[in-house]
This record gives sequence, structure tokens and C-alpha cells, in this order.
Amino acid sequence: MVSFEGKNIQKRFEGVVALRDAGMRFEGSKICGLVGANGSGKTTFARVCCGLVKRDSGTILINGEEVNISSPFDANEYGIVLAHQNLSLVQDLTVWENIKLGHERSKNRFFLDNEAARSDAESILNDLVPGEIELDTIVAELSPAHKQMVEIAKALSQKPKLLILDEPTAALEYYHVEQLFKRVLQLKKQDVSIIFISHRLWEITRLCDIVFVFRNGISVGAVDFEKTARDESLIVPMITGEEEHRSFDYGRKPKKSFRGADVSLELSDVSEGVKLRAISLRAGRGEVLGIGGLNGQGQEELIMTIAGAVHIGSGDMRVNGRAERFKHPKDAMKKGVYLVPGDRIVDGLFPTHSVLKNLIFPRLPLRQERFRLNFKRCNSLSDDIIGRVELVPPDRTMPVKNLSGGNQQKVVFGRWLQFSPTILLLNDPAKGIDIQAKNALYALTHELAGQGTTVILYSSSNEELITNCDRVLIMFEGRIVDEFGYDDINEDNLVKSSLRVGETGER
Amino acid sequence: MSDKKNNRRFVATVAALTKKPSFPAFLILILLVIINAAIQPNFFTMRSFRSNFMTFTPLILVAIAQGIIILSGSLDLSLGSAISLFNCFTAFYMTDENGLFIIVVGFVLTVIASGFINGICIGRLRMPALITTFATSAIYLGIAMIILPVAGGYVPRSFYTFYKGTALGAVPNSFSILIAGILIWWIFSRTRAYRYIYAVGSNEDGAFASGISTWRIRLTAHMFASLFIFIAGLCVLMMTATGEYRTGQSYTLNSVAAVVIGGIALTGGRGSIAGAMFGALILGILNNIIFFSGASSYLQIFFKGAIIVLALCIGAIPVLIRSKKRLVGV
Amino acid sequence: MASAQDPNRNRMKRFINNKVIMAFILVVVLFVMGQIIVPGFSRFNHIMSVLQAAFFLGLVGLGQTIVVISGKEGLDMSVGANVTLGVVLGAAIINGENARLLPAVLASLGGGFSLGLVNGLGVSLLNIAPLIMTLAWGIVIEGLLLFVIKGHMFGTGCPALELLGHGSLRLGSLKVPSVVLIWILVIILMWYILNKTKPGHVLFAIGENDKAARLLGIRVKFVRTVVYGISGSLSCLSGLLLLGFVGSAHLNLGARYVLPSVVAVIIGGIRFGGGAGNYLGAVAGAIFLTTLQSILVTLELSEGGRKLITGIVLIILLLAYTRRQSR
Repeated sequence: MVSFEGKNIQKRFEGVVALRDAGMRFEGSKICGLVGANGSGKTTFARVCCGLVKRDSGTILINGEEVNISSPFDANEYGIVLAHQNLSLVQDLTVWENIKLGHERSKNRFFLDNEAARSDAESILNDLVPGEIELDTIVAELSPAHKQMVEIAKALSQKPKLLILDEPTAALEYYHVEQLFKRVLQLKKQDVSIIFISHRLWEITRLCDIVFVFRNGISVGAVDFEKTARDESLIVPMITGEEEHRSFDYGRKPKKSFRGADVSLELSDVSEGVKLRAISLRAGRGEVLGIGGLNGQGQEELIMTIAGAVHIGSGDMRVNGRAERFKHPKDAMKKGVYLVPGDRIVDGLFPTHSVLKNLIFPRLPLRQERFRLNFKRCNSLSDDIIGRVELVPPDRTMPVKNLSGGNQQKVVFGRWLQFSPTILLLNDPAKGIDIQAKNALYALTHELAGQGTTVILYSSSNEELITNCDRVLIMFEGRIVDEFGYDDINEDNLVKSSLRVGETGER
Repeated sequence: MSDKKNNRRFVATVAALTKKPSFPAFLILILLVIINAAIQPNFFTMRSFRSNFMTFTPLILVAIAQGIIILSGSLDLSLGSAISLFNCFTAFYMTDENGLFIIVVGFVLTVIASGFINGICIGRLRMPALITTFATSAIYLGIAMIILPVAGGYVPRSFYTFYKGTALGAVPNSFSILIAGILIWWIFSRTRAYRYIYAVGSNEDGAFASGISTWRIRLTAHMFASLFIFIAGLCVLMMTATGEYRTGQSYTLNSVAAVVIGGIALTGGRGSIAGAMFGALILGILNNIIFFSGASSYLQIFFKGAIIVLALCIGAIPVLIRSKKRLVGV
Repeated sequence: MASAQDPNRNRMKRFINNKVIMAFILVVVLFVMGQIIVPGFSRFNHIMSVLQAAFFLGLVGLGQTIVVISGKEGLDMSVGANVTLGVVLGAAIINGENARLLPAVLASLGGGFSLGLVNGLGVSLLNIAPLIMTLAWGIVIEGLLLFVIKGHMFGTGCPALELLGHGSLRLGSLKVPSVVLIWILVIILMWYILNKTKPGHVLFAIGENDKAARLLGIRVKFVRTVVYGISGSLSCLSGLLLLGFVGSAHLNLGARYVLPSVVAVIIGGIRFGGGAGNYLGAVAGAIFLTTLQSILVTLELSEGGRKLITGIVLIILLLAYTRRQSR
């Protein structure tokens, strides 16, 4: 590919604007990084480029000529291939069948040449991860890291001219990352361009020639490492934006001391399969306990277990001193344990129902709520909550699917304000929402903590953990591997601990 | 030394076979054959083999059809009504002279109705499979009832005698038709479209992302299946030698049960057609067993329904086990 | 999201989009056509007799409505078998005596409920697709019924039942059938339960998003199972009342309610995927289908023809209302 350019790309999904004015431009075979906060539009842009999603407007030019990409087939014609985050693998087919899926080898018009296809797949896989993955394994049986490698191999086997990698390293082991980088550099020498989407800035600065930054669906700039130094601090301001930095300047929550006797939540040796291993922790009344670490280390499972959504395999849990074994979220809610789930659309909202309904549904299992609902009380309760969370627009009859992401999250969070939670579990509550909503949410969290609620906060953002927590636990592969008291919570420690060894991610 | 290696390879192949989703069905089939042989005195004679396959063949063919459709992530509740439609249409219009012509017209009708219409609605227009085929089932059955409100029509004698007869010594013609059908399936299973059917059934979004035109594959699955519906309808026609709109009805749910027993997941993408065939044989043998047990005909109807329910429940269990393995979530 | 434009235009759009209103408009259109084809079709008393016939479908449709609202593409195909059960059970228990009416009612409610629970368990616990589960279980019920009564119906209804099912209130020259009055009561009751009470909201919640509902402490599996039980008891009760309406009965009576009950629910705009819907829509749907049936019978269309038309109506509705999101 001689040159690639995307200009003024716009894309809207049912009420949510994913891309407002996105684009990038580069010439020659380069490794381009694409970074941005959650919800900035990186993945949508990648999907537009590879034809999975049709753009509403904007142009894409390849080698100076405008092209029309409206399906993965089109994108393939131009040599644009996307390696997904596990989206496109067919779980019930074998590794080699998946690698060649869509471009099999055939003996003639109708029949497949499986031998040739299999050896193709073998050579591609060996270039990437020699000797590790058996070709005939069913994909469903692979580990997440191996699945990701097969996904990448599949993209490679289509002989791309522009390869887009969407967060390829999230699921990988360290040495896989090294192998991937080696291959990517090889590809560059073979005249292939790469767009590398990642939130891991150290990888971006190490690998890329130029970095494009998206924020809120707009491309806000680029950092060219051929002209400047490979410095993260050049990129970060563009990602977060000036205003965001300023408003985060309200600083950390003040240090609080906790009396040891006031323990509201205690876990001893809680295990569940491979996802949770011998978890032991304690949290006190009014404490904000953060859970950090890389994604997928068991944090969500831990939260869901405390919330009663998932069974405890073994171990003990005590809430306010009493031993509990929650079999259903209803049991947890009876004891004052409430959950703000991670995926608000899938797990938290009733999309076509109004804000009012979404806010009062938690009252339905309550004994004290009578058979005939007291709408006057429900209305005033929800208006109250709407005011406290600063919902925009403050209309309780509006179907929640029409709200912006941040406001939707306010509804999911806000419904617990009508109770006095003993324990409030937050499963990455601020992921992908705008700054105003985020601030409102955390302000309320601290208000609740001030009133004695124990807050367990899992966040994929270290910044949120630093600003909001009294203590932070780091999880890795299902275990709690580190605990940081208030004075020790900083970016350095959190990152080092998450990666287990140093910023470079070396073993 | 090489003997040991051959032994190990043999054991490994057998072990791999036992892990296939259609293996439990195979075991159950063997068990049932033994029971049937015990109850029915002349089970292993050529005569009983021939009469068995006269009824087994259409069910196996319909099970293959349903199996392909279910593998593609769809489901078709109108298969039985399509057979009824073919049956009534051909029996009504057939005379000794135009027999072949009517069969051809019937073929086109079946492929369009059962294959094309269902395939377009479900694949291209993205209507929900279950209730859409429920609707088309009513339409096809309605047309069949209009054509022949009461049993009747005419089927040339040669048809019936052919189906009852044998060739090459003692091979029953009904069995040969089945073999022909299996051969057609086997050829189709070597094509690209066949693998894509598995892909679309297993992960439709992923298949689309891989550049596969999912609606075309769904349409292909339905249309290929309609071929088997045609053959099955032909067998039913030859077997009953009459037009009757009720004949097709039992095939629908029985085909679903056969597919489920055979280890094909109702969600699509997993299992093999061999399993569907075993499942259909199991249902056929079970019918024999129930018949020869001497239970009243009403009780037989109850049992047949109960078997389907049981098959569904058993088929649901592996899915349940798989989903319990996922930790996070409901 | 009100637009800055003409507020009348928005109201018009909402009016057309309101499926319940559309359904009733269709009913009116049908009655007009009926009047054209058969003069006297739309006399008050004849409309009442159509409504009377439609009631039974409407009661079955009520069960179908709550099953569909409960989500997971819920449907109850065993309603036909349950109606037949109601007829058989009613006749057997009552056997001509008024005093036995109450036990018969209780028996049909209880029997239908327990059979419906099996559907619910299959759908909730084993995750079997509702359409298939209820279809198969319906066949089992029918088979069992056939076996138990061995082809003969015995027993009869009683005068009280006939009054309920067949009788009417006379106001001058106007006849208002008692079932129509019962139906109005049921409609009001359903509106209240669905919109103003806890169970109603729980139903909508699990239909809309059962994962979220569970995380809010609602026992989704339990509620869904009960819903299928209720549907069973409603169709069984409908069968009992049908006995009063028809007098005697034959075994195929129930089967002709299955397809129309599904179509009625969809005509009424009740969302196929669950989580939303208004019973009034199903009422309109039931009336529409019964009227259509009546017109078609007058036009001397055979049973096959009527089935065909009903199937086509369903396909058209599915095309309009249930297409999945295209990418």
C-alpha cells in the first residue's frame, strides 16, 4: 500500500455517536498506533475500515483513489484485514479450518482441498507461534491467548496489505507479545502497513512509527516518532484532553483511618474453579477498596461472587460478621449488598423501558413493596434520584435507550441511592462514559462511603483507582498479589504490580 | 514394533470416535436394535428389513434435511407440511401418463416452497425461524387440505410396487433410495458451502466478519434440505399410494427429535449428520418396539410424544453443562 | 425526543405506530367488509355473537400474551391440548350437576396449571426453545388425553355452565352475551395487574432483560415457570367455558385455537421478543381473527382455505413486526 487515508468519517449507532470526525493519513508501509480512551471510537473506526460497519459519511482513499468499502468482502479486495478480539473465530471448527475460513483452497469449483489448506495454515501458524498450537484442536478448547494468536494468524493468512490489529495483546502472554512484535516488524519489511490499536502505551511507543489519537470520536492529532522522541507524555494529553486533566484536579480523596473492628466484608480463601484462587480480603465500613490489575484476572468474577450472581466454589464470606453464602442476587440484596454491573446494556438496563421503571425495578423483589405499586412514592423517589445524579435530560418517562452512555450509567448506579447499601460493588462503572458523568458518579460514591457504605471498586483505569480509593488490591491470574495502602497508591506501583515485573513487561 | 504402533493408532482412532457428539446415539441405537430383535421374532429376516426401511427411509431423509438446517443455525417446522403438500399435489394430479411430469412439477414446488421461501424469509429477511416456519407450515398444510380435503388421489401401481420391491437380488429399493440420498449428502459435505454452514451456525457474526455471505449460506442450507424433503415426499407417496394431508405431520417434530438425539446442537454449528441418521433410526426402532409391545394405539401416541419431549430434555443437558462452565454472568 | 416541528405530525406518527389502535382499526375495516359481503353482518346482536365466539380465543390469547411478554421468544403451543383437557375434565366432573361446577372450575385451573408448569420448567431450567417445548408437551397431553378417554367423551355440562358460556343479558332487543361481560371484566383486571402491580412489572422486566432482572434480585426462572402454568390454567378454563358454549364437544376442539392465538398476539402488537405489550391488542387480534373466520365461512371457504389465509396473515405480520436487526 502506497498511501492510506480516512477523512471525516462519521458513524452513529441508534442514538449514540461513535465517530464524529475521524480519520488518519499515512504513506508507505508504516506501523501506526491508534490510541484513545474507551469510547473514543478506535474500534468503530477499525470496523469501518474493514467493512464490518458501514460509515454514515466520510471518505476512504487508498493510493489516492476513493474506495467504497461496504462489506468485509470489499475490504478484502483492497487488502484490508482486521484481526478481531476473538470475534470472528468459529468455536466449533478446528484451528486450521478457522485460519483459512473465507479463503479456503479448492481442488476445483466445488470441492475443498483440505490438505493444501492445512499446510498453508501450518506455515502461517509456525511463523507466528512455532510449535505451540495443534492444528486439529477445536477452537473452543483453546486458551484465550491461543485463540487470539489463531485470530491473528487468520488475518495474516489473507495476505493483507493493511493489517489492523484491535487490542491484540490484551489476552496474550508476555512471550507471545514478543513473537507478535517480531512478526509485525517482518511484515513492515514486506511492504505491509499495520494499524495497531492498543491501550498499552509502552507497547505503542516501542513498536509504532506514528501514533494517531482519537477522543470522543474525533481524531485529535498524531505523534510522529520519526520526528520526535518516543515519549508517552506526548500522547497522554491528547488522549485525556485538557479539560479532563483540569477537572481531575480535584485531587485524591483525603486519607481516612479505619478502625480494625469495623469490618463489614470479609472473604477467606474463596475459590472458584480457575478464575478465583484463595481470595482473602477485608473491607471496613465507609472504606473504598479498589481492585486493580490487568483485565481478565478475575476481578469481575470476584465482584460477581460477592454480589451473589455466581456461586462460591469454596471458602467463606462474611457480611457484617455473619457468614453468608449467596445463591442468588436476591440473597445479596437482602443483606444490603448491591451491584453496579459491568456491561450496562446487557446486564443493567431495560432499554425500551422508561427511566422510572429502570430505577424502581429493584423494589420489585422487596417484601415491603405492596402488590399494588405506590406510584406516587415511586415517582418522587425517581425524581429524587434523577436530581442527585444530575440526569440529562431529567425526564423519568424517557426510554433509557435514548440516553447517552454516561447518563445510562447514572441510571444503573443511581438506582441504589434509594437504599442505604451496606456494600456497594462497582464493576468498572466509569468505563467509556464522559467526564461529567464520571465525576457525578464518583462524587456520589464518596457520599455513600461517607455514610458508611463499603465500596468495592473494580476499575480498568489506574487513574480512577488512584483518585478514589483508600486501599487497592491487585489481582493477577485469580489471586490477590499485592495490597497498597493509601500512601503507596500511585501509577508506578499499580502498573508494576499489574504487570508483575517492571514497566517493560519483561519476565 | 510396528504392530504396537498400529495398535496405538487404532486405539487413538477409536477413542476419537467415542468423543464425537453422535456417539451416544450410536450406542443407544445398538441397544435398541437388541431389544427390538428380542421382542420381534423375525427381526433379522430380509422381509422385516425391507418393511422396516420402507418406513425408516423417509424419516431418515427428513432428519438429514432438518439436520442441515439446524446446523446452519436455523430450524424448520414446515418440513412435514411440505411433505403433505407434495403428497396431495402429486396424488391429485397424477395419472398413468403424466406421472413423471407431475413428479417434476412437484419437485419444483417443494424446492420453492420448502427451500426457497423459508430460506429467503429466514436468511435474507431475517425473520425468526421457529415462528416463520410455523406460519409457512400452516400455509402449506392449508394448500394441501384444499387440494385433497379427504384422502384420495391416484398413484400408479408401478410406484408402489417399486418401493416395495427389491433389486440386485435382495436389496430393498427403499434402502437403495436411502443410500442414494446419503451419497448426495456425502458429496455436498465436501464442498465449501458445507463448511460455511457450520461456520454460520456456530458464529454468524464471525462468519460474516470472515467474508461469508451468511444469508446465501442459510438459503443454500434450506434449499439443499428441500431436495431431501422431495425424496422423502416421493417415498411417502410410493409407500402410502394415496394422497392424505395428514401423512406428513409426524415428520416435523420427529425430525427435530432425531437431530437432537443424534447430538446436533439446536443452536447450530455443532454435530454431524451421521448423528441425525442414527437419531432417526432410533426413533424408527422405538416405534417398532412400542408397536410390538402391544400397547393400545392411544398409548402409542402418548409414548411417541413423550419420546420427543424426553429427547429435547436430554438434548438440552449438554448445553446446560457447557453454559455452567462459564463463570461470569447469569 | 420531541421534534421542533409540527407537534401534530408527531402525534399522528405515534397514533399510527400504536399497534393496538391499528389492530382495532383493522377490526372495524373487517366488520365494514363483512357488512358489504353479508348485509346484516354488523348488526349489534351479530357483532355480539362474534364477540361471544371470540371470547374463548381471547382467553387463550391472554395466556399467550403473558407468555410472550415473559420473553425468550416465549409461546405456548400446548394451549390446544389444554382447551381440550378443559372440555373433557369439565364434562367428566360436572356430568349435568350444577353443584359440581365449582369443583370443575378448580380442577381445570389446577390441572391446566400443573401441565403448564412442565412447559415452564423445560423453558426456564433446561433452556429449551418455548415453541418446541410447548409443541412437544402439547402432543404428550393430547396423547394422554386420548388414551385416558379412549376415544369416547363422557359426561356433559350443566345449566349453570351453559348460562355462563352461552347465555346472555337482554336489554330490550339487544343481547349482550355473558362471556362478553366476563371478558370486559378480564380486560380491566389485566390492565390493572399488568400496569399497576408488582407482578405485572416483574413480567415486563424479565421479558425485557432477564439477565438484568436477575441481578436486581428477581427470581427469573421461578416467575417464567409460573407464567407458563398460568397460561395452561387459562386455556383449560377456556375449554371448560367452551363446554358451556357448545353444549357437547369433540376432541379436536382445542387444536384450532393454537395458531390463531399466536396470530392474535402478534396482530395486537405484542413484542415477539418479550418485554412489552398490551392485552388489549390481543383482544383486537382475537376479534379480528374470529370475524375473519366468520366471513370466510360465509364465503364457504374450506378449512384448508381458512388455515391458508391465517398462515398468510401471520407471515405478513411477521414480516412487518419481527424482523431481526440487519447489520
